[in-house]
Amino acid sequence: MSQPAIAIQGLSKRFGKRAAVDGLSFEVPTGGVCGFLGRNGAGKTTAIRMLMNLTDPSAGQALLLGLDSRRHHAELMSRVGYVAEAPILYDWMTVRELVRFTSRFYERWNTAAVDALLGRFGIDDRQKVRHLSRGTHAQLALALALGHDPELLILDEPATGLDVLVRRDFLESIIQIIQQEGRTVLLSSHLVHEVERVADQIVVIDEGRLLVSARLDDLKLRTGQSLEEIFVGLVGRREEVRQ
Amino acid sequence: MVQLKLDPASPIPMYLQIVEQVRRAIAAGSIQADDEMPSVRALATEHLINPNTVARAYLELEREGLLTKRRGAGTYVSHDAEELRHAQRVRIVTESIDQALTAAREFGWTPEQIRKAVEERLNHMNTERKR
Repeated sequence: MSQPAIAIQGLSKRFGKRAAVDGLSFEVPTGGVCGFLGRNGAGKTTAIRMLMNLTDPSAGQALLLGLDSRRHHAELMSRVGYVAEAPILYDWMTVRELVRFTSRFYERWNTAAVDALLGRFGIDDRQKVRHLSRGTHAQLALALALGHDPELLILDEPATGLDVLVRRDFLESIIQIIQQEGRTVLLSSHLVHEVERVADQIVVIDEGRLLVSARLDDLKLRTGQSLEEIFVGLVGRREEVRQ
Repeated sequence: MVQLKLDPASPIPMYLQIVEQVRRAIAAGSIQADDEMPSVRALATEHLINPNTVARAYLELEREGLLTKRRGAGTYVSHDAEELRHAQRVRIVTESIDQALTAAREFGWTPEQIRKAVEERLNHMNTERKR
């Protein structure tokens, strides 16, 4: 087995007394799509922000591509692509200016791939970013995150607020991305059906804790349930216990 | 050509849905020996699913001897699929019979009752067909 694309060990984040992420451990093998599921507020974004070194863990560590997310942040920046939940783009620039601006942060930049994606999404690169619709904005963020041909792509709720057709486009791009061998995608979402289509591994968290990490096929064979039933079973049962 | 109907929201893993539908297409003769299968990439893009899922299904079908990978030329229905078709038909029918038998056993039916029920269904089908 090759090394996992992501290896998280005992990752925790406390805000005062509240643990947003609580002793989270799981691995994502290289070359697949991991659906990172949880309800709103389950701790997905906080966990991802620690992976991206945007916030410090209270405990534990994360290895991305075998490298510590904090110590090797600079190298990881050139090998990992990231789209935040609500990506903030410089909206006074035109799309073309923003692409050029972003490319300067990287040694390698795949102009052809970015142009192809913009073309597929039907984005006119002379437009001002400010004038883009919400869906186009998200697609532009994805295209930018792919410019440096990342080996690992981390998407935080990328399809939230997009209409059905744009979401299909988005899924299609994700599938295109993993057609390139050895690329790994971590896709965080609370939309079970989206994840069910593309994920081969499922990680479910609730209240910052891991509920399950398994291959989707194995989960279905073991339980005889759809992902929605599995998800509701896992998260709903906790709800009952709490009441 | 196989027309796959895939349901990602089903409790049946997607790769097994592909495996089962290709088996049935071979059993029914709608795909035949030496037919070329769509590439993993094409199938994944068409159905908007993970290519790993298609690859896993193809691997399983290769293992069963139904599909063969030809170096640098894609995936084909095996040359001996005609013989395999018989085996597939036996397998599919046997599975259905087993299912019915399990139900009958749960209801406590005797072998005589089961035979009688099968006879009845056969006669029923024959008269339906004649009409």
